[in-house]
Amino acid sequence: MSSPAGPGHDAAAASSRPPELDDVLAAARAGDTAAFGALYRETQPRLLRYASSLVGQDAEDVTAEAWLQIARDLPRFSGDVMGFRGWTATIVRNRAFDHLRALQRRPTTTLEEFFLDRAAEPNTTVTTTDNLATSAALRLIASLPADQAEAVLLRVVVGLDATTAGEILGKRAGAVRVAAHRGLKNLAKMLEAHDSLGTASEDD
Amino acid sequence: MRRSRAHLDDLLDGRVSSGDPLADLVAAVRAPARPTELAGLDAAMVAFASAASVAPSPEEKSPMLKSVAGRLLALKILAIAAGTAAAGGVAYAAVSGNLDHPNASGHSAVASDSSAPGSSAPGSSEGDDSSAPGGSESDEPSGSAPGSGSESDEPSGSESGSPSPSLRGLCTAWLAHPQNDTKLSTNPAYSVLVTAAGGIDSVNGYCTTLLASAHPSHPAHPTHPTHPSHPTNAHVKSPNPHKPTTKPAHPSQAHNTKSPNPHKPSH
Repeated sequence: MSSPAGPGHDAAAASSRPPELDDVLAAARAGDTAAFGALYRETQPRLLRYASSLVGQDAEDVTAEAWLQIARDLPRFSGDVMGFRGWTATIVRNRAFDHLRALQRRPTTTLEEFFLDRAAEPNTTVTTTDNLATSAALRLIASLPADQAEAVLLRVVVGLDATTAGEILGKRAGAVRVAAHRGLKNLAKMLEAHDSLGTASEDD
Repeated sequence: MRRSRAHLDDLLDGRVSSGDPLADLVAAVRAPARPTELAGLDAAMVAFASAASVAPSPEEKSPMLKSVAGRLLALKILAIAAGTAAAGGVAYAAVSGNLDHPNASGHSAVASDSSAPGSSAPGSSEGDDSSAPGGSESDEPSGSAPGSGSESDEPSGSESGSPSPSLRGLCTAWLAHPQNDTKLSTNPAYSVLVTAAGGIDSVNGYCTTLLASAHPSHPAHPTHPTHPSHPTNAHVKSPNPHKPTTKPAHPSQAHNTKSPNPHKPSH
């Protein structure tokens, strides 16, 4: 996000970016604790769900750690709400991987291996949210190939546009779009195979 | 089911609310926040208020005072982190590692230096993502506050009796809780506030008065201009006497983002 008020690159932002949030962000950056609380309310569910796809039950820990850092560094942040989401998602992502590294003590583990490991553990639960449908959906997304999973998570769950997501993933917006599309198509296949997600989770 | 690219883009952007299982899945992960998902709100707000108190203060307050305050507050944040996060270890190290770091004041001074020019962005910091600021998770984990651990000490503001910015922030956090007293009173982060108010029963009144009298939008306290009271100007042009002689040793990873960022750590 080099340009703070960058145009909605892929027309993404508009639907999920209330303009007043930029004011809230500005107030929080200036030290307004209440505004910071509002930012938290708006952002934390996104981050928590993203994190839960990365680290499962430890998502709350990871996001709590992330927020300490966000609280500390916010005055140094400059950018718009989309940039803020991207920044915070980056912090969560890095902490999530640190967390996994610490757990697994495999310093060289790659992102792909993380996802593979989780895919190999069918019992890995995504239970951070109350909502069974949400948890089930997140789990399904997390079962995608790594690049697709992250593209879908950042685009859909965190609410980033393709450009911002690409900055986090080190990809171009177009590549993010392709990965996200593939991810969605695969999800659609899974859903057909699993019957309906809603029914399945409500029966739980 | 065949899906056009446009339809997929609509799904990604949340423009399709329902209609098929895939849209339902998208809606599910974008569902409104559940209360449990916001459980960390209080801790985050307290951390924010506390961070503000160790933030750059253009004039007044000696670095030493700030650092003592920072340590005290760090302890309290740690207590929260430990309570909120089962794996408080990392947070613990991260917080204390930063706040206790010798560079702490320099670190934050950089902020008011508005040094992050367009640092805006999230970044692909694959390599240097050691999240603990400084990557030093084991770095003096608790050296924090040797001999300063007394919870009832007031970290700041106490010297002159004039409410500090952190108290204002704590008050905001406190009052933001509908059902505060009982639960919050056990939260060590508020001990400063409780002490300042003169008791748990007085906190509501104290905070109401404080926030009413010292509205954040006014340059409130002549004697304690720590708070960046004016949103638009505060960080833009604070003449910074505490200008650090060195870059923060450990910029947070998320700031190194876009390549041309001056904060990019060298490691």
